[in-house]
Parts: sequence; C-alpha cells; structure tokens
Amino acid sequence: MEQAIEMTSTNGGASANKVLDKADEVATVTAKVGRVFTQTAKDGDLLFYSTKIGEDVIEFGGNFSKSNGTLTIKNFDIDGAITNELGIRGIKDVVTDFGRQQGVNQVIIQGAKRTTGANPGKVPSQLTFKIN
Amino acid sequence: MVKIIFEGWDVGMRKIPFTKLLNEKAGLTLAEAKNLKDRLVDNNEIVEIEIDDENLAKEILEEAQKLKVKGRIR
Repeated sequence: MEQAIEMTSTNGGASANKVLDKADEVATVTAKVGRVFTQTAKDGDLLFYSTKIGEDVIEFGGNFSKSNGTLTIKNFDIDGAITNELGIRGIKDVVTDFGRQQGVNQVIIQGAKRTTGANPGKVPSQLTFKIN
Repeated sequence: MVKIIFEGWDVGMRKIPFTKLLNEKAGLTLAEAKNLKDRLVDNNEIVEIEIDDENLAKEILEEAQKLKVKGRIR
C-alpha cells in the first residue's frame, strides 16, 4: 500500500490510479477470501491442502466430492503442530472458510481414525458445518 | 527386492506425512499411499510394500518410524 501511495506522488496520472485500483482490489480479495489454502497434492478426488494459522501451518485432506451445494470430505486427515490445540471450533473455522471459498452451503467431514489428541484409536463422528 | 512390513502405529502417528512419504519415496501413487495408510490405521491391517533398493527401504522405514509407524524390513 505504501508503494502504491508513493507511486501516486511521483508518477501521477492514470497509471498511478491503476496501481491504487490494483492495491484496493488485492485488499478486497484478501478480505473476501480470508485464509489462503494451497493445494499440496492431488490424485483423482484425493486432495490435500495447507493453510496457515498464525505462524503455524496445518495440512488437511481426504476424498472430496461436491453435490447440491454440499462438500463432503471422506477419510479426512489433518496434520500440523497445533492440530491438537485446534479442537472442533478451530477445525470448524478452517473448514467453513474453505467451504466458503469452494462456494458450498455446507461441509461434511467423515474423519479417519485418530492417531493423536485426546482419543487416539477413535473414529470421530461425522461433522456437518453449515456456511452462512 | 526388500519388503517393508508396517505392523502398527503409536499414539502421535502423523498420517499425512506418512502418506506423502510412501507417495514420494516408495513409488506408490498418492491414492495407493493413502489407501495403505487407511488399511494400517483404520483396519489395523499389517501391510507391506516392496522396494528394489535396500538402502532406500531402510531410509523409508527410518522416516516412517520417526512418524510413529511401527515396521520392519524383511
């Protein structure tokens, strides 16, 4: 943003306005998009994504399918240093952000058996997150 | 030809890095690697993979053990 303002003062005119427009566009897109998700691996419907939470990176993935505004992720796995601290609320934040970016109304997660956290060995219940 | 036999997992096992390890080093597709991980963890199956190079097999096993996967080479 600083760079855009400096260019306005030195260049002036239409080109500087374009820079400002672009900066506003980027800011708007970032605000709309929120969290950035990066696809890290793909094989058919098996997808993995990473995203940052503060300074930490988490990765999640599974078998994705979309139907009638619902994104279903089967055999859902999640990994990262802070995964165990996230809890359902933290996972909900990430997943609803992801679902919003995918343009769906709800996300259903069918988790694979847990190997970390409070209940290793347990297959978690199916979770449904509605997106406003 | 060497076989790596994965026999189980310990609490704290890191599933996604294990899947990617099998995909990137053991020559399995991502889907095959994930399927093998699911069989090991979800179904408690003993699963094995064949690796041509013994040193590579040792390297894979060592990395898998760091990810808290139990295994051995035969």
